[in-house]
Amino acid sequence: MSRMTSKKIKTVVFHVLVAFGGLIMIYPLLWMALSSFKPTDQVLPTSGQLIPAQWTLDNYVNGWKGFMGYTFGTFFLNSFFISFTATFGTLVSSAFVAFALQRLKFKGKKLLFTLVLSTMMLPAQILMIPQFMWYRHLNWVGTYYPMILPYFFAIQGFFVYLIMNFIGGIPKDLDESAKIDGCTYYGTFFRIILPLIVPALVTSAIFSFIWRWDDYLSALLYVNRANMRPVALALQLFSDPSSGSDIGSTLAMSTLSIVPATIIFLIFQKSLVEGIATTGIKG
Amino acid sequence: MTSKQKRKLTEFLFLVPTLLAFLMVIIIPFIYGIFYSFTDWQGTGSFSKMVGFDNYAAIFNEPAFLHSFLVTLKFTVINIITVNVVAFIISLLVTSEIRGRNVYRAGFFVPNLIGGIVLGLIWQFIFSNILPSVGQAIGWDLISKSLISNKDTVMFTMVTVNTWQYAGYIMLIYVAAIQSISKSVMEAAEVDGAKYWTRITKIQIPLMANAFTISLFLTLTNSFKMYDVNVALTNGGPVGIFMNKPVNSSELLALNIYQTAFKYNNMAQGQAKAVLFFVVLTIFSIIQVSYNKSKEVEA
Repeated sequence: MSRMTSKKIKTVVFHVLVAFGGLIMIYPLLWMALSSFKPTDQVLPTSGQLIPAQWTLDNYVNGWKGFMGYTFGTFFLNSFFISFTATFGTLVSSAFVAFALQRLKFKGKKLLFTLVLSTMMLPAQILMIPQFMWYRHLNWVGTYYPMILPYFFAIQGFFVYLIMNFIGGIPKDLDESAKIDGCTYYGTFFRIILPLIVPALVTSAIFSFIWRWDDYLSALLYVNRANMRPVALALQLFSDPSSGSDIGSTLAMSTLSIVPATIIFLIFQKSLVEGIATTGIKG
Repeated sequence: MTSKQKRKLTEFLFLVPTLLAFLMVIIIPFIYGIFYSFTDWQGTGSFSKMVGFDNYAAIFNEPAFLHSFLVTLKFTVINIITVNVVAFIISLLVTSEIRGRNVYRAGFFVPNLIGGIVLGLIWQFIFSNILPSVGQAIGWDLISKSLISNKDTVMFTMVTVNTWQYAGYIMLIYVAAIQSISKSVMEAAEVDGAKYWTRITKIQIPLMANAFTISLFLTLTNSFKMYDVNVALTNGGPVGIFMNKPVNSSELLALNIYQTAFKYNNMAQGQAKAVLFFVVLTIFSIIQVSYNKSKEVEA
């Protein structure tokens, strides 16, 4: 009996500890989201208080107006456009390359595999300047090309690797029998492999979308017109008091900016978690 | 067309576009970058002459760069420790028999979804407004002023934010590793009388050495590359003194490189810094991974 009670107490203590830890993790986000509903002049004076005493949507209305003549609607559409197209590109190309690397036999396969993997660790900084010069030479600066087109060519080793691992788990007999039945490489890829790697594609899509959505540096480098700014860049400029913004509307727009990622995460939580776990581990 | 040719063509179509782009986007810029770091190129037009190692010599005489290099090393070391310790502890919590562990897992991961800019903004409010108001209320001097504008504590704020953002991601890797350890091993140890602490240090940790290799590597590169949180949270400030020159006390390497190249338009020197940065990061990664690999055991 006493052992039972002590175990129960332990469980309770444990729960409290974990919940407290979880609260610390989530507190800054809650603070941002809830403060965005406070009247803007109340945000700082009542910053220690989580729940607004007085709820208002003013910050959303004011913030949405944006700055320099463009509303946040423009910035959000820009971000959606960039994130969707780049994600589409990276998925299609990564799946192709992953299939080739996993199933086709050709000279230099090992070298290519090493190259693809090495891009995973190449820091963006070393390529930043030469890429910028290169894109400027191509007259791409000031367009979305640098932020979209490269992704159509499987330049993200992470996704190639993730999908490769997944294809590796599909029995080879399956493609062999498809081949015997007269499937070409394309047929095998589209009819056999593609439907089976949907989970890996979903995981990759989520990651890609969120990473593109949060990408600030390339927007900073390549976007020079106000109407082309994605949310990350717009927010950073907006948060500067010289843009005429106030704390409330900055918080409101920041809160809105994390809504897409949060929704995606809530829907696809399971496959996301599995994706990280498997790619992280099979290194 | 024979079937063999056809197959060759297929392979060609699968791979060549990618290889080309790969060359264009990664390999060529990479080589160009190294080449330009040995020229006097200013970013516009072409360079006028090769300058050998002058750019490299110059950056070694630049207090701001040396300082930023040291700050980055310090940040990386502290960050690797905090991220992994926190992630490991959380992973133990959320793999225990606790109810609602999936909710916790999701909760701990959420900060990772948020872009560095938003993160920087929120934490700036926390460190510059919320904590000082709490500090003034309870009379704790240290936090009564913004921790970000104090050059002794600014490092702490960056580590806190990065740990908060990244621990949830690393946690997932540890969780997968813990779950892959067979239950019977742990139960056998328990039956044999091994205490909780012993089970963790003598069984779990050795068996998940692979996860440590990966996680340490990811944290190392992630810390080294830190950029957007740096911009949004501290933007390099506050001013400090290093080698008798004013320097930005929290300017990490990535920010320093960006400023050199795009603010001061000194592309060649910026690139020399980037190359050096790459070399150092590679050396560190190789040392870390081979050290960790030597510790791994076959499960």
